Formats: sequence, structure tokens, C-alpha cells
Amino acid sequence: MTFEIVSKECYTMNWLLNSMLAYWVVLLLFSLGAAAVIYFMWLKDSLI
Amino acid sequence: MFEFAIAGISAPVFLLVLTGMTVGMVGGFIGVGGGYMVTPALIVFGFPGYMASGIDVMHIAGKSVVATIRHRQLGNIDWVLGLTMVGGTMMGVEMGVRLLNYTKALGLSGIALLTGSVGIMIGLFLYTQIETHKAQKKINELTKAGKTVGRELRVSTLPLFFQSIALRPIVRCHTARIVISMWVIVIIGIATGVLAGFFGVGGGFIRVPALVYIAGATTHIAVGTDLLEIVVSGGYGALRQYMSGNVDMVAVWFMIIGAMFGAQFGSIATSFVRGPAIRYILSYSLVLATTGAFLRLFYMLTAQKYEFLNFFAVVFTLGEMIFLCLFIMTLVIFSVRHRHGKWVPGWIPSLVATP
Repeated sequence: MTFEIVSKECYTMNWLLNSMLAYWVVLLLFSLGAAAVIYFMWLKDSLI
Repeated sequence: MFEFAIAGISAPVFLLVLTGMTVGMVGGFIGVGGGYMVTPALIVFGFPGYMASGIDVMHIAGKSVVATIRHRQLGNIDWVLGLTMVGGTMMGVEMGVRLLNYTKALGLSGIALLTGSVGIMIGLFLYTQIETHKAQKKINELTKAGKTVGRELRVSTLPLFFQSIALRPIVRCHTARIVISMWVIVIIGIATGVLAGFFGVGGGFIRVPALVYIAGATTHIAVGTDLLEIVVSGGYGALRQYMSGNVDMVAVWFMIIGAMFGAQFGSIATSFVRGPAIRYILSYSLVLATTGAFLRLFYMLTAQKYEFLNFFAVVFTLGEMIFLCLFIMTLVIFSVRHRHGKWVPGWIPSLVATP
């Protein structure tokens, strides 16, 4: 019998790279972060 | 910052150009005008509400012409389908505006608007998301079985029912490859026009799913044909708004500078993807716009006490446009990589078009 040890980190990385949901979440967080930067740089003082 | 004399405010020009570009890209890709994203964004930038609406409609009219021309070159417009629907759409918009005035007279317009728009957007999101997910799974199964899959696959059987309605005259839409009763197309136009007139939007986010799931057109044809409709309805709306003095043309020009590039890119991007990819982006835009609207509503309902709600509403309004743009650009980049045999994430091959 042979055993193949595959680390949890490998599975996680594989899921992160190949999951549409993971990509969606990461991209949304990045976009919201960019929007927050825009808010603080240009809009915070002039907002009604 | 630029002084907009007619609007009476100063706003950052870069943000207007960026908004025009991002919404132009999204609009050219999924076939919507983008009013439900642009009007809240313009209000955030400081424009008064009535002027935000006027600037939005004016820029939509210009942007949709650019996107329609590009989609025509890509062969994504069915003129028979579009022109048959135009009359119904205009009639429906007029009926929707009268319905809005009626509910306003009853004192129900605010509640009716909010409940109706949220219900429709969430319903459309759920149906589109579930159907597109099933279509993507079927594409994967067919590809694994070694079969060639074209750029469109749809699992919904609703179009078969509506195409079987034999009310004469029957129209043959050669580009969309559907044979359907003229009355079904007219009623789609009226129904989507009523919703558009009632909610004060262009109606693209309702019409594109209607053309796909009721008439049975492919997603690419639905996007191009809907943009043709928006040229007509947006052009009329722009004329009305301009005559009412609700437009700051300088702001419109800045937005159109961005939209000219964005709309071209978004339209061309449709040739790199399959129909399910376009439907995914459409459903994401619906759910994100609904979330942003909810945050704004909670902020108003709590008498503007909690500043963090306003912050999140603003960030969501801007963030959703950036997110949708980046997702579209991702699909194009991965499509090109896939064609050259390079590594792409596992969910990409079923969404991108093969040459």
C-alpha cells in the first residue's frame, strides 16, 4: 500500500485558485477597498 | 475639482470620466443603460437629484449609440426583434409613468417603488443565477464528453412555451433565429416598458432577461437588441430632460469621454465570452445594486444618525462599478490566455468563447 500525503495548504490553494466564489469575494473586497480610497481622497469633505 | 455652473456644484472631473468609463463598459457588455448605478453615484458626487437623473439619461443616450454601433458590427442586433418591440416599449413606459402617478396620488408610491424594485431585482438575480449555474455545469459535462459547445447554452424551457403561442402574425427573427408571435414581442415590450416607466429606469436589466428567457434570443443578441431599444427610449428621455433644464452638458461631456472608451471595450468583450458569462455579470449587477440601495435606505430610515451606513452605501455604489469592470476585464484576459493554451482557473473554460 502506498500513501500520498497532500497537505491541507495545497487543497486550500487549489480551491482558492479554481473557485469562482473565492475570486468573486477577493475581487469585491478589492473593489470596495478602491472605492473607500476614492471616498477618503475626493468625496469625504464634499458629501451631502 | 471642476465648477459645474448649471448644476451649481464643484465635483472631481476624474470621477465623472471614471464613472462614464466603468458604466459604459458594463452597459456595453450586459446591454443596460446603467441608470441604477449612475444616478446614485452622481448624487454622491454632489449633483442635485433631478440633475443627476437628467445627466444620467443624456449620457445613456450618447453611450448607447456607441455601444449599438459596435454591436451591429459584431452582428448582435436583430432589427426585426428590436423594431417590433419599440412600439410596445414606448407605450409601456407611458403606462408605467401613469401608474406611478396613480400610486403617488394614493400615497403609496414610495413603498410601492421600493418593494417592487427590490422584489423584481432579487427575483431576476435568483432566477438568472440558478439558470446560468446549471448552464455552466451542462457546458462542463458536454466538454468533458468531447462535444463542441457553441457560444450559447440555456437550460430554461420558458422560451419554448412562449414560442409555441400561435397568435398571428408570426415573425421570423433571422439574426436571433427565433420564430415567434409578434404579440409576444409586443407584450414583452409593454411589460418591460411599464416596469421601466414605473421605476424611472431604462429597463435594460429587465429587457435583457426577458429577451433571453421569454423570447428565446441568445444572450449576445438580447444585449445588442436591447441597446438599440435604449437608443430610442434614452434619446426621447434625454430630449425631455434637456427641455426641462435638468441637464448640465459639461458634466455629460466628461462622462461621455469615459463612456466612449468603456462602451467600445464592453461591446467587444462580448465576443470573447459565452452567453452564461454575460448573464452572470448581469445577475451580479442586480444584487450589488440592490444591496447599495438597501444601505442608502437604512441610512435614510434611521434619520441619518449612523454615518457608517452612509459610508458603506457610498463605497458600495462606487465599488460595484469597479467590481463589474474588473470582472469583465478578467474574463477577456483569461479568454485570451485560454486561446493561447496558458493556465486559467478551472471555472473559466466554460465561460469563454473558443474561436
